[in-house]
Amino acid sequence: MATKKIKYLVIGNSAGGIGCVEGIRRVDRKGSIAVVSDEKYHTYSRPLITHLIEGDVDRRGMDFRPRTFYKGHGVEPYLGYRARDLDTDRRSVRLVSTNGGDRHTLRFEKLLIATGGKPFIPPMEGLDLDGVTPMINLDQSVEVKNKLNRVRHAVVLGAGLIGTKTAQALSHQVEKVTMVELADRILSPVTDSVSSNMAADAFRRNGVQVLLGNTVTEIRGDSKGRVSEVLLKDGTLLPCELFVVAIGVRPRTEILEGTEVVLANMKIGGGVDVDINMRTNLEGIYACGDCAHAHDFITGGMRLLPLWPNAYIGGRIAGMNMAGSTYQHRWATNMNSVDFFGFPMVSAGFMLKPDKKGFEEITRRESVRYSKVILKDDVIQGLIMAGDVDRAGIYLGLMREKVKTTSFKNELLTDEFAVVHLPLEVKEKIKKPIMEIE
Amino acid sequence: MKRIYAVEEVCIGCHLCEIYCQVEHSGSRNIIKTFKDEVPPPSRITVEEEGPVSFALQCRHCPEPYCAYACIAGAIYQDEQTGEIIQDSDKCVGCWTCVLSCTKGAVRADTRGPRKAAKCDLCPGREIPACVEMCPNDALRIVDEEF
Repeated sequence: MATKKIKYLVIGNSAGGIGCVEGIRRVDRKGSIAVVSDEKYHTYSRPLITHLIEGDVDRRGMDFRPRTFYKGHGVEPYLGYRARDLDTDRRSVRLVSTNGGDRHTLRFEKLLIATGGKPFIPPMEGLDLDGVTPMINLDQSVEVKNKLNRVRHAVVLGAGLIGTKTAQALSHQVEKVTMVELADRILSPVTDSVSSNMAADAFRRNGVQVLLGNTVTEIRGDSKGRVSEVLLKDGTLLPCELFVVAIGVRPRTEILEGTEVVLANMKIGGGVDVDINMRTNLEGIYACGDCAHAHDFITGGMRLLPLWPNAYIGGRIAGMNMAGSTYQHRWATNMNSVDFFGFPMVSAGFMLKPDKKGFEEITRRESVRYSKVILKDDVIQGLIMAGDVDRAGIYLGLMREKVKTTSFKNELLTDEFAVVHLPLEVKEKIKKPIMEIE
Repeated sequence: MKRIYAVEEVCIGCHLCEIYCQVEHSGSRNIIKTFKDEVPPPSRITVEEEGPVSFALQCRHCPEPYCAYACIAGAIYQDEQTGEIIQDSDKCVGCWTCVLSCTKGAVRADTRGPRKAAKCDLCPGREIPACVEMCPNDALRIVDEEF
């Protein structure tokens, strides 16, 4: 078994891992880098797995970076290897090929844990049936795509970001799609009730059945071991040839079991406990993305934010810091952007006005368009734009910079709102390029 | 790299830069056909006005491009040679994460066909971008600077 010394070891080949490589190379052109992933593929855009099913993106279109990426960045890729036996004292990890046989031991100076998430699947009868799957990686989307010809009716459990995107994709491919959600509205973490209803209407208009306040309690199969129907909590039976479980993801931290790296309490979802520089409690070991916590610039606290931009920027900042910089990751909050059947929707920060002193809410509502800001002492802390998302980023900038909107609060959601109305120093800053990570 | 700067003092708010940006990014690149026969593309430059103050704003080609960092498709990247921030429409899936991430409001939505983000591309193939060339009062200047 070969032992090899590497300066930077990156476990994870998705947004966080790639961000880390690019961050390291901003600072250190030469130090050796190894990227490890148990998926055997060139880095791909995980949020596009549902687009592969929908058919608007092909396999090559899923490449997150050009195929020359690893070579061009001086990276030794170990793709299709599972990392295990992490020894944080000896600074070593064992890599075992996922198709058996091949093993390596890597010794490292700096380590990034960017292992992402794993699907949360509640115990349920029938999970092992053919045609039952989570939807968080390429293999799962390819498998679903290959089975579409025998699917007439698909059921998606969970109407969060993955569930809704899966339902949208399937609606273009199969006869009937039903989305089942336990909450009283779809996309509850990233909407309020008005915007959620507008999104749900977009689904219904496009033939997707939306069932709220309900869940699947049992999966039933046919004699060939294939899923044939699911039983709902209210007793309804839904025939289906495909059942996607998309309730949520949990941090994937198995690699850290038995090490001294501190994890956050399971009451707040677990995940690697990091500081604002993406450092864990152990010198030289960093974490980012879905497996770790991040600083929320709205709440000021650390929390799980399993979102692509948070993973990439967290990884990039971790990478620069692993190479000697001291940047802070101040770009994370609950921040989402989606488009359902041509109905665009973005949101950031608080979705619902906290029931505390100093908070207020301004809304604007038209038939196909809705916007809302939540203010705390005239500083924007929540944003929803549905139906029209033009220039949404200006609001996000005001949120990040904690700009007092007192002098232009009444114009915030009008058509006239623009950079020109902002206080002089804010306006001048917006007109200039962003030269440094802030 | 090339970067466009607006000179607020001499901008007369005529919006011609927006018009010529649309023409340049239209199918025909002909002003009459663009507005008569086609659905005009969104302008990638925006003239903002308040009383006598006006200026044009477009992608600043930030050396720290949060739009690129946020892109879920790997469709936005910095060109290593020129420093420009390139948006690859073929890779774009129209999720609008860049629209939310650009704090300058400089990424727009092109909803003419398959939904795509659209931002200033400094007019590839032209020595001087259309907005700069057509500005009647020299309120847009192209500057070559380090990146």
